[in-house]
Amino acid sequence: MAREGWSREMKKGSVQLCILSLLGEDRKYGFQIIKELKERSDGYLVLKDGTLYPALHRMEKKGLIKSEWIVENDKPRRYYSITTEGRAALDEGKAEWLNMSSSVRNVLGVTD
Amino acid sequence: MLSGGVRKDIVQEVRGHLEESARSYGGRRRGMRKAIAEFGPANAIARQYREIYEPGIQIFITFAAVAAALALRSHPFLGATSSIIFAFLALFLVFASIEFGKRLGLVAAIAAVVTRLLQTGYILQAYPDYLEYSNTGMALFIVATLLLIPIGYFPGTLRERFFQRDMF
Repeated sequence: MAREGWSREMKKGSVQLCILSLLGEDRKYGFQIIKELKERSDGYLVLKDGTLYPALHRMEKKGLIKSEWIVENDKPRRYYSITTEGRAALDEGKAEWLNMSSSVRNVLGVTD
Repeated sequence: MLSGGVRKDIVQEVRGHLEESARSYGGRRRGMRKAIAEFGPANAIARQYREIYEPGIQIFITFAAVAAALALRSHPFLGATSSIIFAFLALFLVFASIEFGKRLGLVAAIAAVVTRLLQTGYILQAYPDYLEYSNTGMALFIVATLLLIPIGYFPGTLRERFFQRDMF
């Protein structure tokens, strides 16, 4: 598989976890999430803007996050925040990611 | 296709994003062009929303009505063209299931099945000498009719399970 293919597959698995992690810190709106994902991942996680919103709606339908409209400077913004179930999923996801990361490092023979 | 309230929320959210994105790219006209380009293809994103939210009740009723109308015309006693219309009905159900979800496909399929069975029951009762059939023929008719249900349901299920959205 070409590097781009590997990159896409690995990102797919982690982006929901990263979104939950960001929302676990504080409530955020969509544009803010895209920006923070990019900045905090040093440009690695760059989403196609339009795909974030259906993903957020999907997560909300699953009960992992919730949303509310807040008017700021006469402009309504949809803020998302994590739910109790989302926090539990985040904790499980983090533990699983650390486990997987450590196991894969061992197999690949990669050291820090 | 989505209900009014859901559509309004989505439009408002996307508008807010595009406005903020345009500002970040330096201004209204040029910035908005870049913001729209970065947002991605509208029909692909719209499809993602359609997969999350079920269509409004009017869409369910419309598809059920179309399926029922096709089913009425697909009855074998109406002649040779009924087979073509039955095939078209099956394709219609596959399309409905893939594009609008397994539940809509299933509802449309059930409407078609009920229509065909009621139509047969009515003809047998009202015109008992009109319909000539063998037991094998009737069994094949019933099996073909009932097959419409998995035809309406499974394509949507397969699409949900195997089609992954590219976010990057």
